Amino acid sequence: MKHIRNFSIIAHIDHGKSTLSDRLIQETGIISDRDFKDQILDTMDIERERGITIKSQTVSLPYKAKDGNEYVLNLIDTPGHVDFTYEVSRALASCEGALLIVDASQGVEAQTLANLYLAMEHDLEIIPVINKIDLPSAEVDWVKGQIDEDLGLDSQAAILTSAKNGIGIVDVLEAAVTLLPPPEGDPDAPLKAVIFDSHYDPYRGTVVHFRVFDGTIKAGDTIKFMSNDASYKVEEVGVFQIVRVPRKVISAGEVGYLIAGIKTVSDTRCGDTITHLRRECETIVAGFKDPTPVVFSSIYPVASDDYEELIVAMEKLKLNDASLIYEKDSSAALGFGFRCGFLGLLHLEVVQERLEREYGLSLILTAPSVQYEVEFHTGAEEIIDNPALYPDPTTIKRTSEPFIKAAIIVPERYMGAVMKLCLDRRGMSVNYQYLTNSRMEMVFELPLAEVVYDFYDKLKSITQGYGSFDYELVGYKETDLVKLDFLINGEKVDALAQLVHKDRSVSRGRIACAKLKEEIPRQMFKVAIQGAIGAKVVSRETISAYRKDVTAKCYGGDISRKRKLLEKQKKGKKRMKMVGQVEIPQSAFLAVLKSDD
Amino acid sequence: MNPGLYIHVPFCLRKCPYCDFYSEADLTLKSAFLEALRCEMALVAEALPDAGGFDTVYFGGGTPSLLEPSEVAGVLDAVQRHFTVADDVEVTLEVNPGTVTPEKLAGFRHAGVNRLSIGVQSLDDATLRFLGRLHNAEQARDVLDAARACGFASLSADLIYGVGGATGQSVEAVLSDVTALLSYAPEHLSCYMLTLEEGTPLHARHSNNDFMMPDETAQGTLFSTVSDTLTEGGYLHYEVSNFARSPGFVSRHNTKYWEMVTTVGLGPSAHGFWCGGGGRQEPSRWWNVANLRSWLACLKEGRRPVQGEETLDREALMTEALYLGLRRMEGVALKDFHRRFAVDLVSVLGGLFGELEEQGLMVRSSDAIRLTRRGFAVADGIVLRLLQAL
Ligand SMILES: Nc1nc2c(ncn2[C@@H]2O[C@H](COP(=O)(O)OP(=O)(O)OP(=O)(O)O)[C@@H](O)[C@H]2O)c(=O)[nH]1
Ligand code: SF4
Ligand SMILES: [Mg+2]
Repeated sequence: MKHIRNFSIIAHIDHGKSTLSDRLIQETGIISDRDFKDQILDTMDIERERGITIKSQTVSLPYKAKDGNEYVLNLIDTPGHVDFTYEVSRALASCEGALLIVDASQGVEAQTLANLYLAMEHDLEIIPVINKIDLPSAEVDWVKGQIDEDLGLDSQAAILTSAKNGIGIVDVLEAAVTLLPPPEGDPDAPLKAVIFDSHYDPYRGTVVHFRVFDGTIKAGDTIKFMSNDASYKVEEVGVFQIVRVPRKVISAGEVGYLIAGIKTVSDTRCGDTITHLRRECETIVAGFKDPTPVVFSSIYPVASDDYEELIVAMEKLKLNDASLIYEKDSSAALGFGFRCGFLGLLHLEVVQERLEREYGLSLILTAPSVQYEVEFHTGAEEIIDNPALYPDPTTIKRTSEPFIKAAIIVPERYMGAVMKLCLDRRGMSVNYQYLTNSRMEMVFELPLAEVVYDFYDKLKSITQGYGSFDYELVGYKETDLVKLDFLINGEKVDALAQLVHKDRSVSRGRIACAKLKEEIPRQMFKVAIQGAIGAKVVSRETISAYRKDVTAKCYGGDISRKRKLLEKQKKGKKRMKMVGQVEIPQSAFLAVLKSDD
Repeated sequence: MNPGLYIHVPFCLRKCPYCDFYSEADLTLKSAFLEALRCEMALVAEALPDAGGFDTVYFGGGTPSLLEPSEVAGVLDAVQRHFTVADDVEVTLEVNPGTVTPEKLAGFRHAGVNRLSIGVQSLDDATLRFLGRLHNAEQARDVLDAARACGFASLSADLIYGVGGATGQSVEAVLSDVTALLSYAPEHLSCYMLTLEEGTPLHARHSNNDFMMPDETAQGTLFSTVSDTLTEGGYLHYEVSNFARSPGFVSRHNTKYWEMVTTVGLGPSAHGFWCGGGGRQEPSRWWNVANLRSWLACLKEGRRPVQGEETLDREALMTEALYLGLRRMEGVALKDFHRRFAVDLVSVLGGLFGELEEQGLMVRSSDAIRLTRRGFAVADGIVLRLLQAL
């Protein structure tokens, strides 16, 4: 066990975690050059397309250190985007150490700090790494100053790397061996392991990812999940080395996977403790904090008959995305679906894309909403996160909305622009402080509803990419809320309704109507789009009717050609939802949220 | 209804830049073509023994008027020998201005042709030039006059409108073209909105931004201008692109395509349709190879020059029946549709029908649904919506 090191690579988004992982993997030679590709741990299509990590990935690296000993380095590459912090915190729970990467040209950013705090909460040993030193804009001394002062770490211990050019890679491996502590635990004690992730394999069923704290686990063992007493006979255990590599046994301090013919998808719960049926451990592992979803939206299949498939897909996706929370839901316009909680809008998009790609579904998501607290005249209270369920306003005494504390790190020169953005979003400046190198941390209280949609994009654009932010929920404040309905040719579409602050309702209605006009294709007849609060119409747009859509010639060969075209078009139309007689494309449901201001 | 016979004459003096029909500009193979045509007739008569009883023969192309009257007579004679032909057969021949003299027209009539379809396209020289036609307006007028003079009682004229470029057709320009044509009082008119077919030189020039086409709204206006003018002039707008002076002058041959009646196609690229039954169970479509040399080679080996064939299942038949039916003034007969496909169109349509009716695009009589003339202009979109509902 003293030759095992478990550590995560953490950083702000894009600072080079996955690229550094690549180099460490190559250095230890577990993959041939022929099979290698950049950011090899970003296995999902959506990760590769967007160039970001969404899921934490574990890889087990054999390393012969300069001290002559053979080590096993269990590395976890984590995502940097704020929506996926939950992935990071679960990874950290299986580790004794962390490599905290800082981009030599960008310096310390908001998630550098946020992830540092997370690692400190887990009492991890932290090694700072300054990456991208090859860049002409790299300023190593500038970053060292930030590491000392803003992070409170020792910059003399920082390792300088260029993950791109393979500089400093052996230094990182050596530092992991010499500076990080080995895991503790008793291999002879009863089995105690924690599930930190899982995924569904169509041939093998559920594959459970776990870390062993005490005891050992091997094929043939009968194990038990402590939360629901489900017991299984283990078929295979092993480690992750890009592919699954079976092993005879996984012992205390190690990380691995198990396959046990688990058919009931919902048996496996992230954070659950695994033990042996006949020799149980006495206490369970502390598990993980429940994720806190911040936006809620309903998911419906475009074709109502796909609902059964959606049920199965949600269960399987949940295995691989512990932060996804959902329950059954139904809509007058869209039929049966699920009400889901997400950690942010990117998370929402990822879930939609994964369901569509991995399970071949075509989906509609309704306008995301935060959770409001509604107090009635009767004294009763209710939490509302679905605009369709917003009660009759005359029965409401008071409505409150969630607020966040946002910490924004920007170079000083953008202070004015950031201030304006936050005030426009109904924010309140709480505090600000100067950091090293003429950067500052500005703290605001903002309504969550104002940041979930496009705040991050706006912040990036007004600060030319230099601004970064992190936030936490701080509580509820009274608000003046209205329900904004949308009517298409006079028919109210519940799935488009939004809850918005009264001051913003008219402009929101106007923008959303304009967006709908862009998204809804022209039809054979005129389409009227209206935004309304109660009976009052606050905005309207009209889509004029098609004037000409007909093939001129229709003889002999034209007929089968046209028929084939119609058949093809009919299939292509699947992503449209009929509301009344109007075809609304899937994209329209999300487009209404984008603001233009 | 009796079946129809189509004969594709694959020769043109020159290829028009918008045309995607199959034809060759080299006429040296004309006699070989005519000879092989007889072989094809023999093979078809053998393969489809019960196809007989043709009451239409249609010479299309290409430019059939490049054939000599004697050659047309020879072909018609062969048709009589190989197939059963109805007594009142309608024999149509497509004529391009500039390829015929009054004598030649008289010769066609004498050979048995009783209906001419004249490729006028426009009576405006600038438009004809834009279309890259070989003839001018005067030649077109001459053919119209000559056809009348030699006694054809059933004339059809083709018109193309909605062309682009500097000629860019205004409503007035289209109106004057239509009005000019009306002064010849043709029994039948086919008015086609110019379509840029992929693979044609005109399409390539447009992609290259050489000229602009009227936008969709302008096209809609032109479509209704043509429809309104001809309707006011007493014509029946009986199919999206076709007009007849009276029900008796509706194209008997083309109606077979739209009513899904058996048609046999001869010549390169010709298509055929079998409406089902008669030992050859399933309804099917087939098409000849679209290349004169390959077509000749097949026939030389005594094989039918069929390049492809597809049988139509219920779904395909239903799609075609809806599409073809709604393009016609009669619309889709509800009882008939129900009998053939066990689908109650009215209930499937549900609210959509109300919406379309309210917008003046569709109407329903007790036994049929049909598109209005305004509905014709968006027929493709409407059919697609109906298909989705099915
Ligand atoms: N010049 C230079 N570019 C680098 C270096 N390391 C990474 N990059 C580039 O930085 C970008 C982001 O790299 P990733 O490894 O995907 O970053 P990440 O931290 O894993 O990003 P997330 O997982 O999305 O948080 C990519 O374009 C890399 O090629 C480096 O040392 N030098
Ligand atoms: S004459 Fe007719 S068939 Fe020949 S190329 Fe021109 S349009 Fe096509
Ligand atoms: Mg990454």
